Amino acid sequence: MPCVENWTLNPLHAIHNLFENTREDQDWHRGVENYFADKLTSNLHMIPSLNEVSLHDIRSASLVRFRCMVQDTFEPEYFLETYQIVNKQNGHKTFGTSMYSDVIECPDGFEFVESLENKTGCRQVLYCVSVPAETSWVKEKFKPKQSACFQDASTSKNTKRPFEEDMEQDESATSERNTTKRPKASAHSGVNISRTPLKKNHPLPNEDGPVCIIKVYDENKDFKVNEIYEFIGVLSVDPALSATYDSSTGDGIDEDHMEEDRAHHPPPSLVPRLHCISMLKLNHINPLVSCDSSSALDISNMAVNLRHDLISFLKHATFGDELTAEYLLLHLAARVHNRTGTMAVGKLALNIANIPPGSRYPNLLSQLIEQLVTKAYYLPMSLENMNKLKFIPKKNYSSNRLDAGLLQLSDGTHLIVDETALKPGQLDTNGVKNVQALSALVKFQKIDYDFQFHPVTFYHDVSTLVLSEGKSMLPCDCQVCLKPEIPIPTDLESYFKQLVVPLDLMNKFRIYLTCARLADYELSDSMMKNIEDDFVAARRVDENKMSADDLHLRLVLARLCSTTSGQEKLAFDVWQRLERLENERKARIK
Amino acid sequence: MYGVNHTDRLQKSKDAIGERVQKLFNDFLEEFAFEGEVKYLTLAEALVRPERNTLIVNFSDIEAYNQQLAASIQEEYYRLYPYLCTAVRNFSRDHYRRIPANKDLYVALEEVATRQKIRELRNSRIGTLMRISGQVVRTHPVHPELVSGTFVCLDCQTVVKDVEQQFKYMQPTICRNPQCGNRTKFMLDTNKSRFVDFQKVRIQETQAELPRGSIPRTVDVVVRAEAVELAQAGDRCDFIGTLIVVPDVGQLSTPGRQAEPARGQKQTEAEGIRGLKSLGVRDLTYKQAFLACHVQATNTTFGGKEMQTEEHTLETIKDQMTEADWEKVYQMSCDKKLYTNLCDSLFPTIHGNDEIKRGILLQLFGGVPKTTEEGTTLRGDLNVCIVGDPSTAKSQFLKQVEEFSPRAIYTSGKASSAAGLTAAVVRDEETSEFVIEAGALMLADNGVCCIDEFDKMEARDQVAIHEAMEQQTISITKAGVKATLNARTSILAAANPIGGRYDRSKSLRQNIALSAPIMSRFDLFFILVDECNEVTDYAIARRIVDLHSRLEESITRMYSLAEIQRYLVFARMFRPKISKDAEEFMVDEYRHMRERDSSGIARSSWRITVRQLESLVRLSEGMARLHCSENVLPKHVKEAARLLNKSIIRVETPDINFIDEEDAMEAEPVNGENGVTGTTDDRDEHQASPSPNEDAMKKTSKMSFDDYRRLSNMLVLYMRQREEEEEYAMDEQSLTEGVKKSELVNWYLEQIADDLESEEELIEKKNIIDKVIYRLIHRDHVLIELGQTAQKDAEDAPRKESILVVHPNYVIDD
Repeated sequence: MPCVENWTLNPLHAIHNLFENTREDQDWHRGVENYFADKLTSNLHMIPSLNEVSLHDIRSASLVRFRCMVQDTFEPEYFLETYQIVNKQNGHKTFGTSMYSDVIECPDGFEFVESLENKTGCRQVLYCVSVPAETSWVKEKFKPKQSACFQDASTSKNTKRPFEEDMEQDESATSERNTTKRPKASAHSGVNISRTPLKKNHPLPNEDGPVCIIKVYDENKDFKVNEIYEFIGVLSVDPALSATYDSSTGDGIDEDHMEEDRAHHPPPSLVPRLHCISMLKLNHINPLVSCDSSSALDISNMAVNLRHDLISFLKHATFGDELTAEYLLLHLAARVHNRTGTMAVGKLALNIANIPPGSRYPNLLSQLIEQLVTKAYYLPMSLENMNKLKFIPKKNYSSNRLDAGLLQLSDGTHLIVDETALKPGQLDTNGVKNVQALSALVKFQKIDYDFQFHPVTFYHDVSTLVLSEGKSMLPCDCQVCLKPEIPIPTDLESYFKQLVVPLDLMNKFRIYLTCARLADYELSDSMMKNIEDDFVAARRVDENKMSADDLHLRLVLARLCSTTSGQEKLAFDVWQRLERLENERKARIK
Repeated sequence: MYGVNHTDRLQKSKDAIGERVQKLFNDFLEEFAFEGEVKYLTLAEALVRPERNTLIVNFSDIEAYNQQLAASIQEEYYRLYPYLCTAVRNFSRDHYRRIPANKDLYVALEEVATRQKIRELRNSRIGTLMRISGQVVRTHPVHPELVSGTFVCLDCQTVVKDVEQQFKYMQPTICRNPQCGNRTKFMLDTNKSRFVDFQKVRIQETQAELPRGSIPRTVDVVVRAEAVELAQAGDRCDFIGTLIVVPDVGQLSTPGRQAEPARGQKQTEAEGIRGLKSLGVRDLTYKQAFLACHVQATNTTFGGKEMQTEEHTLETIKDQMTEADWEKVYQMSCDKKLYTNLCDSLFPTIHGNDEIKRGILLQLFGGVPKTTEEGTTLRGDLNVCIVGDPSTAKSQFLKQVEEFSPRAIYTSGKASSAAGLTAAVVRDEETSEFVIEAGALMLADNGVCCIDEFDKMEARDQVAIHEAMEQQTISITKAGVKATLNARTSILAAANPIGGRYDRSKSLRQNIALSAPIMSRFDLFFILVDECNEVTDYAIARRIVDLHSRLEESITRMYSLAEIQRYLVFARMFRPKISKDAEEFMVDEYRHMRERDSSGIARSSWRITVRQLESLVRLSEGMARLHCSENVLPKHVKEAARLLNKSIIRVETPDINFIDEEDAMEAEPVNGENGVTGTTDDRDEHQASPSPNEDAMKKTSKMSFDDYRRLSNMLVLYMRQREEEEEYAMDEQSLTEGVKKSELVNWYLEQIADDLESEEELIEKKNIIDKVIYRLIHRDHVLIELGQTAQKDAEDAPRKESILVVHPNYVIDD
């Protein structure tokens, strides 16, 4: 399939052709975007993704995609949008562009001319990391299709190469782990200055997904950190790019700059560059649900059944406790849908108390949740973790970048905090800050990133589930006491292993949860009136029984009850059922 | 590129426009007169001094002198800058011969109107004159930068003079000696070359300019000559200059050094685009930098951070505003309902509580700080405390202020120590020197410090902020460091009442765990009670339901926060004077308050002292500022006094409900005497209870607090009297002091017998008095029942007739 190869494997060729033809036009690169947009609509799956295919299997300057989170935005970069080269022999001038590439190709016999027609352009530079806390099933689901199609396209080309590079890659990977060694055994040897290994800047410890520097040519697009995008563009791993990284040592350039340069120009073998041609902002990363928001997320017809099935599935995990299972389900479908003043409306931070202490239960439960949702992270709240880990992203002014912290998570991530891991002891300064940050996240869904001179507030939407023995120390919205109906099995691990559902049903659960999370919802006027009356009536009976906070919680739950049942409007029976649920929940706390 | 390399070339090839501008600028310097004097002639005289080399020129002067010249400089700043400097040199040399001929002189432009956000620096702006402001996050050491080099050819020893340098080290392209032909081997003669101070500073987008959710942008600023060392990390500064692009390498910091010796290409090609091929990626990308000629601390920028009242007049403020902003501010100042509109726009999510909103609003406007003749400073900042039940939006007030106010710090008393709030001396780990670490109060200098859970702060920590609250300074004497630091901050505190709920039958002081000195430092106290009434409940429910039912932000504001911020900065410029009328009115009001205080008709929770008078002044000034009035008028004082009265005595004492008492009587046998002294002094009584003549049932079960107290006092007085009488007549009934309950009831009924008209009324009154006595015994512990003990002594008494005495510690108030 030669035509495919043309635009996927050598997109720059197509770009140059377009440039030649439409150079006079100010917005000629719009043409490029349109050209590729046309091609991409039907052939998206042909493009290898950096998430699944390892870097050494992809040719430089070919078209790739990358599903990632914007971790940091660098300063904009200026480049030569148009330049002139002249043939040394005959003095014939030709134009070129360095758009969508890092290096200018200057064929032999040509030289650059300094000309008034040289035009500078400006591009935004983003530092992106693979989506933090992406669960394994999501990765798996994305994989097979791609690698199959990719094999078709390139096996004929590199048969032997990958092996060699594989080894090299392994080497660099091991050396990266090994702190004493240099990060990349590059050709530039003889530099004996020991370096700290390059930090890939993943928010979560132990995560080692691909990272990439994305260059975007739209000057006016405003990127926020922690947004999830899929970028499609030209890969650039030109070895020349590592020149800065490797050479800016020893020759006297002061330390400050070295650190910054190395942070901003890491070797492309570790951090490739991607020149973005097309991008798509993702509001979920569920591979089973179409990214296209226009396609109806209609689950209403099967919602009731699925809800029932899912609750009975969760019920096994809560040892037959239906109430806890119900709240857990609601928690999994919650998201912040509105912010007013300081409040994040719609979040449901759940605290399941009464967890058997010292068991593997929190871990197993979180594994179960990881099976259901797309992004989840299990955080044992041990003293060591609280004191040692870095929760809050911090601006490092000497390398001029944002050092990621554990809580720099994208919207829609589920954070499972295991408070049973906490033992009495001393929290140090870092630990106190971490706990404060965690509390702020639970309560306001925002984190103050440390910019040293002043904090900068960033909004998040990270659903937090706290598993604790007693009442949690974190200000959760809602506390449920686990009340096992069956005796807790001694061998929890094998008990949880038995809890398998057919893959088909599991996939349905996954679709169901993603859709329920994104579903629309409204309150009818009559229902609003009802709720108001209920509130006033309840307060008349006993003013302590129902506070404003209780009403908040109840409205959040009402929304979730409706959306998880596939209803767009709150029905009166749901509201009443909720009251029963809430009463039961409160009775248990007492 | 255009910025770096072209000008160099253009300069050499005689720039006609440049020369014309140079001439015009020279004329400007010669001719521009201010108050009869040639302004820049006097200023240029300072350049004679060896350490001076920069002439500061006000850009608005140029605009006034020649609009076209100003426009040219604005548009082509980078290109024309060398010509401006030459003009300055010629001008100064002409008039002051003492200036050495080879001294480089520079020009710095100030008062440039075009302000640009760091985020909006774009390709198209390169080379034009503009002003940016940002927070300095990093400063590099000052280096000498080679301006113009003198080289010696290593082959033939020919001296090549005046090789202009532009950011990069540039050798002569070829030796001047026509026979030599050397292109590479030159030596720099540092003694004959000229250098200038050079510093790189990195600035970061200020919080005010930062769009929500974005990482603050940074940009490197290059400053030279006299502008070096002016900005320190942490400062907020304005920079005037232009955007340039520089190769993305660390070459800037080491000017004059050969940047790429290892690469081995010909030095003649090491500049600009020609070097691209051999340099690989390095010269391919460029980053933006800002070349500044003038640095000044950021003043009251609109939407900016500083809120300094000093140094600025209304005029300068007005100048800094755009036409539209000014228009809006003017419009706001004319708004008849500005007071309420501002309140509503500031706290759209909080229902009701209008008094608190007003109080906080006035706090934001603040009073005028004054210095007495003896040099004592009187603070202008208002301190406000909100006491209230849990879940009554206390924290929301604080959070809202924090979000809105540019220099506000939010902290929790529970998690703060005195040192964390004020300042601490710490030993620097690296240098082992003592340094002062700023606490929250200092960080909020000129702003608002919001302290949540104020009551949870330890008592000694509370003491530590006494000084900050009244004197607005923080003194440190510790470990050899002695310092007095400014903490001109208003404090907005929130506290929970003792026991979680506000007990309305007790006074404010009994309700919160704050010491009297600290309480008196608050100008306004507000009490938020979780009241149960249908109207507010409906309103709360409506608001919450609204919040959840809409997808969009469900707030409608009359004015946007940015507008209020601008208005606030503007209004805070005013220093209203107290008019004669207002003064009299104030005196009147104060006297009223004092009178009421001492007469006890409406006793407040603390004594009215001079502090309250000061508060009254401050509040009135704040009110005048709010209306942008030059004078404090009686109407301002009136509102201030109203607010002050409201804030001190806001809580209504509830009606005494006897039905509950009776229920309680049956439910739990009250343990009458266990040494608790339930003194009921200091009660707030402000509002009379609703009319008592509804139905009979209600009448018996309820009575207003005033009535209750009057009655109880009457009884106690009577009993005390009896006791005293008995003491005189010791021998008669030596053992049984006190009064029998029935006696007491009878006595009371006799007292009121004249007022009674029917038998029913008599029965009713008897019921009441029974209940009052019961309550006095069991609830308030004013009376002590000696019934049980008396019974044992006198077993013959068949009926339980308890004997009552007044609690020995009970003090009758009023």
